[in-house]
Amino acid sequence: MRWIIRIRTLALLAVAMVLGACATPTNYIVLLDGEDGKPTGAVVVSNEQGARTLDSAGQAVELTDSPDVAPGTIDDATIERDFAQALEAAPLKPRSFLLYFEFGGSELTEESRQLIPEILAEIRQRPAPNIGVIGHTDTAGGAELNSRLALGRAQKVLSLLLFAGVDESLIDVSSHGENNPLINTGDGVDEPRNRRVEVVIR
Amino acid sequence: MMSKCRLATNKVTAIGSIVLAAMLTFPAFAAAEVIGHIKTTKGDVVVVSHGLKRAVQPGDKLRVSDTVQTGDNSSVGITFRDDSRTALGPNSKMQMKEFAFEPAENQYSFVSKMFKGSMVFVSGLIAKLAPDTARVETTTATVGIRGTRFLLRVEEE
Repeated sequence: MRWIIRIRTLALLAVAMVLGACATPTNYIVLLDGEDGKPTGAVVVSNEQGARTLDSAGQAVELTDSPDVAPGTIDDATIERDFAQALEAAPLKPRSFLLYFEFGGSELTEESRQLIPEILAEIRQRPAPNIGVIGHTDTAGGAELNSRLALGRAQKVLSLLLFAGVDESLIDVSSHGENNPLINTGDGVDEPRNRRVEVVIR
Repeated sequence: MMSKCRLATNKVTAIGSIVLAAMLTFPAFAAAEVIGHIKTTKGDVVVVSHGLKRAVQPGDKLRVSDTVQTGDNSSVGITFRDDSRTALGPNSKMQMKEFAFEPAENQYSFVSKMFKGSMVFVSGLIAKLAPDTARVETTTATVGIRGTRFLLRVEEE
């Protein structure tokens, strides 16, 4: 619902230039603004003739094999007609919780321990939930050791969830090692905020 | 009697070898790793896996090479392991051609093919960590996903 409203605002801002100038195209792509105020991303539409980048919200381009399709916009009513049902079917945004451990150990900090009831409540209220438990490390130390360390801590969180009665078949435990940091650092940097276990509820 | 028995055993072994060989030849089939979950469904939604068609509902799993199809007045929402999300409107057909998300090994890939219908896409970690590996293909063009949200419509040929 929120999406639909945002698209309406988008269309108001858009210049009244309809792709192809006459009939609505049948094959097209529209870039939307970022979710929850995040910056708009980009898509690169390419065919054998070349490539075009769309990088501002509301931009649209026809998907054809012809070379000269200029980006334009698609009017509100067309978007509503073509996408209302798909937009309505969009899954909820996954929600992430970050858990931290006492230095060098496998005990959660008191602050993180207090998040567990909220995590369990989110799992209970989500329709058809599945849960990722992901260990992350900083870049200090070897990659392989980091990956193992991260997995060990993720296992610890898994046992907490199982103890609380979460169905094991819904949980996927993995390690991202040092490759998906919260804070970007160079290699070999001790960064406590990156040494975390992420519980993502999808 | 004896030889019949032995024949039967041999047959089982032979079938076992064929299955094993098939699993080794088609690693995707052997691993059958879960890449995402169906989150919402409305109306007629089926997934075709290796030629077998099944009706799906929220909570069901999706694997590489699966094709998702919706009927009239139907829709489906999917969340993938990298947190990307997609939804298809009525009379849509999309196949997940490739999916890899193993950050610890620096392996990433997201390739889907949109045959027809309407799609909403919100990119996840694959497009963030390895943007060159995420794309949606159509019959006429390829969409490289640098992030984050887009709508895509493809009319059946």
